[in-house]
This record gives sequence, structure tokens and C-alpha cells, in this order.
Amino acid sequence: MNNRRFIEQEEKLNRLGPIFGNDWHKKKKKTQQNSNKILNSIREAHEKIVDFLMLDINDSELNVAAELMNDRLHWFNEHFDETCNIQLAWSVCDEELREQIVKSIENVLLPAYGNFFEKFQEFLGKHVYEYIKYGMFEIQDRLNNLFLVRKQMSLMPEEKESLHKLA
Amino acid sequence: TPTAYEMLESFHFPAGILPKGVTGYELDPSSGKFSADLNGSCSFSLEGSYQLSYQKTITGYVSEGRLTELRGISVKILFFWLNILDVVRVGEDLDFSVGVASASFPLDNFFVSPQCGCGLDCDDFRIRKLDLGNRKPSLSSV
Repeated sequence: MNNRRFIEQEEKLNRLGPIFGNDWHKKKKKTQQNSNKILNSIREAHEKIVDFLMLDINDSELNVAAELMNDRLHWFNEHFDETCNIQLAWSVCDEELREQIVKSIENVLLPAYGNFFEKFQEFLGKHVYEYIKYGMFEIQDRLNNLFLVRKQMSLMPEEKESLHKLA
Repeated sequence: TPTAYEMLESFHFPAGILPKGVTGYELDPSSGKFSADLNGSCSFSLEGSYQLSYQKTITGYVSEGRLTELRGISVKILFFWLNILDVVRVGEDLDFSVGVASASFPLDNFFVSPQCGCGLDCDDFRIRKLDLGNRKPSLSSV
């Protein structure tokens, strides 16, 4: 039991960064494929995000429109909260790529949210702030916290074997 | 012959890294190359967590605490589905990598195999939860 704990602590203390191995080039290619996949999916995400905040309320009565908007906003808030909380677990090491991803999401999400807010305000006037959970800057702050790098490194098999020998 | 879940456990991975319903698998012991088959594609959302998708066939290489060059497992990040390429066990955590991004989750998340469609939020979840103690993978003491 003591040996097991020693090995586990050693593993945590000696976590090392990735080391280029024989499969480095393969991984690099797959990394690029995933990068392209992320960026090329922005268009799809655009439709999904904007759908949350789109309303067809041309002929609705005042109170009906406000209720519809409130329901949509509630659903958006829940989805946004859940999405951000899930994605806090993930990190992107390439800072330039991370900024690119976040910027792309902002460019889609913030205008749609801003338009929604304006329409909501037309119906509720100053009372809109009783219903709005996030201001524009709060949305932006949450997005900017996504995918930040945390200390997560892999222990290569060679290192693990050497640890076993030490034990 | 051992099941796919038992094979993974022999390399110190929790059984819950695969969903229920694996119908068969192949393993080349010399290279670690493996293939596991499901009845069909399998997707589910783990409550309060992330969405996962498994294709009918999952392939990759397995060694002590490492799954590499994986094909057939995807995870949803924001609005995108990305292929999981590597899974590495580090102490009591599993590190998942999709190439451009990585995340670490505690082993506890993977002691029970999720069920296609409903993840861990199924009617019989409580019954199976009682078995958690018996299903913990054991590390060999040196």
C-alpha cells in the first residue's frame, strides 16, 4: 500500500510535458484536422446560437410577446450556464488558437444577444433589467474564461517504467 | 475469454470508459492494437457533464494506462463534436485529449458503464450504483 501511494505521488509530482515521439507527426496532422473542424463549424454554430435568440413576434400582443421572450431568455441562460460549466474542464494549449476560437464564438453570440436585448427592452422598458441575467460584458467575460490552460500533462510510458524501477 | 471491459481493466482503465453493449473485441497483444464493436452508434449525455458519442467500431492502441490513436469516440465542446485521440491515466484521473484541447476527469466518473441514450440517468441506476465498491479497478502493489 505504501508503494502504491508513493508511485501515485511521484506520478503527480513528476508530471511531464508531452515529449515528441514517433507518432508526433500523426498527432500533428490530427491536431490540424481538429483545428479546421472547430473553425469550419463556426457557421453551424452560428445557426444554432442565433436560433436561441430569434423570435417572430410581428403580430403578437404585448404581454404575449414579452412572455415568449422571457421563456426564450430563460432557456438561453440555462443552456449558456450549462455550456460554460462543461467547457471549463477543457483547455487549449495553443493560445493563438484559443483566442481565435473564443473570438469566433463572440462574433456570433454577442450580436445575437445584443439584438435580443434591444427587442426585449422595447417591450419592457426599464423593467428589462429585472429579467436579464447577463449583461453583454458578463457574457464576454465568461467566454474569455473558456479553454484556459491548466496544469495537465501526460506521463509517458518510459517515465512510468522508470518510476516502477525506483520503487 | 475476458470481456472488452475486463481487457481495459487489465491495463488499469475503468470499465465505464466504454458504454454498455460491447458485442466483441479484438486485441493484438504484441502491438496493443485493439478493436471493439457495439451494436450500433451510441450517444448519451452524462448529467451535469459532457456529451459523448461512440461509433459502431472503436479502434486504437492500448498499453498500461494509455489509449492512443483512438477512432470512434467523440466529445462535444461548446457546439462542436471532436474526436478523442488519446486517453491517459494519471493517478486517479483520466486525461482526455482531442489534439487541440485536453481535459482531466476523476476516475470516479467512469466506474459505471453508461447506457446508450440515457447515460447514467437510467431507471436501474440505483441498483447498479450499489455495485460500485466491487467494480473499482485495483492497482498492483510493487
